[in-house]
Amino acid sequence: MTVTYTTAVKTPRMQVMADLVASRTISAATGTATAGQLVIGTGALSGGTGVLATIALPATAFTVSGTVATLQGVPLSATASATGTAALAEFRNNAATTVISGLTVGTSGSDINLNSTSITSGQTVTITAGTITHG
Amino acid sequence: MSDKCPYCDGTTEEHAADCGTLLPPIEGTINLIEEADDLNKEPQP
Repeated sequence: MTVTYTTAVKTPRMQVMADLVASRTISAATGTATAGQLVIGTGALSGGTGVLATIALPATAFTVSGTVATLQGVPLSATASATGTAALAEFRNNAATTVISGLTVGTSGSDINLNSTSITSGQTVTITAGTITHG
Repeated sequence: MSDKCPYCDGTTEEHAADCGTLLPPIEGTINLIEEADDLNKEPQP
Protein backbone atom coordinates (compact mmCIF):
# COMPACT_ATOMS: atom_id res chain seq x y z
CA MET A 1 0.00 0.00 0.00
CA THR A 2 1.36 3.35 -0.94
CA VAL A 3 0.80 6.52 1.00
CA THR A 4 -1.37 9.24 -0.46
CA TYR A 5 -0.40 12.88 -0.67
CA THR A 6 -3.08 15.51 -0.99
CA THR A 7 -3.10 17.84 -3.98
CA ALA A 8 -1.92 20.59 -1.62
CA VAL A 9 1.32 18.62 -1.33
CA LYS A 10 1.61 17.36 -4.89
CA THR A 11 1.19 20.68 -6.67
CA PRO A 12 4.11 22.47 -4.97
CA ARG A 13 6.29 19.42 -5.46
CA MET A 14 5.58 19.47 -9.16
CA GLN A 15 6.18 23.22 -9.21
CA VAL A 16 9.61 22.72 -7.64
CA MET A 17 10.44 20.18 -10.32
CA ALA A 18 9.21 22.50 -13.07
CA ASP A 19 11.15 25.47 -11.69
CA LEU A 20 14.39 23.51 -11.35
CA VAL A 21 14.12 22.25 -14.93
CA ALA A 22 13.73 25.87 -15.94
CA SER A 23 16.82 26.82 -13.88
CA ARG A 24 14.75 28.99 -11.55
CA THR A 25 15.58 29.52 -7.85
CA ILE A 26 13.45 27.79 -5.25
CA SER A 27 12.37 30.14 -2.46
CA ALA A 28 11.79 29.29 1.17
CA ALA A 29 8.28 28.68 2.43
CA THR A 30 6.49 31.63 4.00
CA GLY A 31 4.02 31.90 6.84
CA THR A 32 4.12 30.91 10.48
CA ALA A 33 4.66 27.25 11.24
CA THR A 34 1.99 25.69 13.43
CA ALA A 35 1.96 22.31 15.10
CA GLY A 36 0.50 19.43 13.16
CA GLN A 37 -0.31 15.97 14.41
CA LEU A 38 0.28 12.31 13.75
CA VAL A 39 -2.95 10.37 14.08
CA ILE A 40 -2.76 6.62 14.64
CA GLY A 41 -5.95 4.71 14.05
CA THR A 42 -7.66 1.53 13.08
CA GLY A 43 -8.16 0.35 9.52
CA ALA A 44 -11.26 2.55 9.45
CA LEU A 45 -9.29 5.73 10.15
CA SER A 46 -10.99 8.67 8.45
CA GLY A 47 -11.50 12.06 10.08
CA GLY A 48 -12.63 11.43 13.63
CA THR A 49 -13.52 7.80 12.92
CA GLY A 50 -11.11 5.11 14.06
CA VAL A 51 -8.76 7.45 15.90
CA LEU A 52 -6.77 5.67 18.61
CA ALA A 53 -4.07 8.22 19.44
CA THR A 54 -3.27 11.74 18.32
CA ILE A 55 0.34 12.73 18.78
CA ALA A 56 1.12 16.44 18.66
CA LEU A 57 4.10 17.34 16.50
CA PRO A 58 6.48 20.26 16.90
CA ALA A 59 5.59 23.36 14.86
CA THR A 60 8.47 22.50 12.58
CA ALA A 61 7.91 18.77 12.51
CA PHE A 62 10.65 17.78 10.08
CA THR A 63 14.07 18.91 9.02
CA VAL A 64 15.23 17.89 5.57
CA SER A 65 18.74 16.82 4.65
CA GLY A 66 19.39 15.32 1.27
CA THR A 67 16.47 13.04 0.51
CA VAL A 68 15.51 12.36 4.12
CA ALA A 69 13.06 14.28 6.31
CA THR A 70 13.69 13.60 10.00
CA LEU A 71 10.99 13.97 12.65
CA GLN A 72 11.89 16.52 15.31
CA GLY A 73 11.20 16.60 19.03
CA VAL A 74 11.29 12.85 19.58
CA PRO A 75 10.27 11.09 21.68
CA LEU A 76 6.73 12.31 21.06
CA SER A 77 3.97 10.85 23.18
CA ALA A 78 0.22 10.91 23.59
CA THR A 79 -2.37 9.13 25.66
CA ALA A 80 -4.52 6.78 23.61
CA SER A 81 -8.07 8.06 23.33
CA ALA A 82 -9.66 4.75 22.34
CA THR A 83 -9.08 1.02 22.33
CA GLY A 84 -8.45 -0.91 19.14
CA THR A 85 -5.94 -2.40 16.75
CA ALA A 86 -3.72 0.15 15.04
CA ALA A 87 -3.50 -0.27 11.27
CA LEU A 88 -3.34 3.14 9.61
CA ALA A 89 -1.92 6.57 10.33
CA GLU A 90 -2.10 10.07 8.90
CA PHE A 91 -0.17 13.29 9.18
CA ARG A 92 -2.56 16.20 9.66
CA ASN A 93 -1.94 19.92 9.90
CA ASN A 94 -2.90 22.31 12.68
CA ALA A 95 -6.46 22.47 11.36
CA ALA A 96 -6.65 18.67 11.43
CA THR A 97 -6.69 18.56 7.64
CA THR A 98 -5.05 15.41 6.36
CA VAL A 99 -1.80 16.00 4.48
CA ILE A 100 -0.48 12.46 4.11
CA SER A 101 -2.68 9.42 4.52
CA GLY A 102 -2.41 5.69 4.06
CA LEU A 103 0.59 5.12 6.28
CA THR A 104 0.58 1.52 7.39
CA VAL A 105 1.00 0.63 11.07
CA GLY A 106 2.30 -2.76 12.18
CA THR A 107 4.99 -4.37 14.23
CA SER A 108 7.55 -4.73 11.43
CA GLY A 109 7.88 -3.82 7.78
CA SER A 110 5.28 -1.06 8.00
CA ASP A 111 5.55 2.69 7.58
CA ILE A 112 5.10 2.96 11.35
CA ASN A 113 6.28 0.06 13.46
CA LEU A 114 5.04 -0.29 17.03
CA ASN A 115 5.99 -2.85 19.66
CA SER A 116 2.30 -3.73 19.74
CA THR A 117 -0.62 -2.70 17.55
CA SER A 118 -3.08 -3.50 20.33
CA ILE A 119 -3.76 -0.11 21.87
CA THR A 120 -5.87 0.46 24.95
CA SER A 121 -7.49 3.75 25.88
CA GLY A 122 -5.31 5.50 28.44
CA GLN A 123 -2.15 3.80 27.28
CA THR A 124 0.85 5.93 26.41
CA VAL A 125 1.85 5.83 22.75
CA THR A 126 5.33 7.10 21.95
CA ILE A 127 7.15 7.69 18.69
CA THR A 128 10.86 7.48 19.40
CA ALA A 129 12.17 8.32 15.91
CA GLY A 130 10.87 9.05 12.46
CA THR A 131 12.09 9.55 8.93
CA ILE A 132 10.47 10.00 5.55
CA THR A 133 12.80 9.07 2.72
CA HIS A 134 12.35 10.05 -0.92
CA GLY A 135 12.54 6.78 -2.81
CA MET B 1 -2.87 -10.21 19.32
CA SER B 2 -2.39 -8.47 22.64
CA ASP B 3 0.72 -8.18 24.72
CA LYS B 4 0.77 -9.53 28.23
CA CYS B 5 0.60 -6.97 30.99
CA PRO B 6 3.66 -7.29 33.26
CA TYR B 7 1.57 -6.37 36.28
CA CYS B 8 -1.49 -8.58 36.11
CA ASP B 9 -0.45 -11.04 33.38
CA GLY B 10 -3.55 -10.22 31.40
CA THR B 11 -3.68 -8.95 27.87
CA THR B 12 -3.73 -5.20 27.42
CA GLU B 13 -7.51 -5.29 27.11
CA GLU B 14 -7.88 -7.41 30.24
CA HIS B 15 -5.35 -5.21 31.94
CA ALA B 16 -7.51 -2.15 31.49
CA ALA B 17 -10.28 -3.90 33.39
CA ASP B 18 -8.10 -5.65 35.95
CA CYS B 19 -5.50 -3.04 36.74
CA GLY B 20 -6.71 0.21 35.29
CA THR B 21 -3.30 1.79 35.62
CA LEU B 22 0.28 1.27 34.59
CA LEU B 23 -0.55 0.13 31.09
CA PRO B 24 2.66 -0.86 29.36
CA PRO B 25 3.61 1.87 26.89
CA ILE B 26 3.37 1.46 23.15
CA GLU B 27 6.54 2.60 21.42
CA GLY B 28 7.40 2.80 17.78
CA THR B 29 9.21 4.49 14.94
CA ILE B 30 8.28 5.98 11.59
CA ASN B 31 10.22 4.74 8.60
CA LEU B 32 8.33 5.84 5.53
CA ILE B 33 10.06 5.36 2.21
CA GLU B 34 8.18 7.04 -0.60
CA GLU B 35 7.55 5.15 -3.76
CA ALA B 36 7.51 6.85 -7.13
CA ASP B 37 3.87 5.93 -7.59
CA ASP B 38 2.97 8.00 -4.52
CA LEU B 39 3.47 11.18 -6.50
CA ASN B 40 0.98 10.14 -9.11
CA LYS B 41 -1.64 8.62 -6.87
CA GLU B 42 -4.85 10.57 -6.49
CA PRO B 43 -6.18 11.20 -2.97
CA GLN B 44 -8.75 8.71 -1.85
CA PRO B 45 -12.27 10.08 -1.36
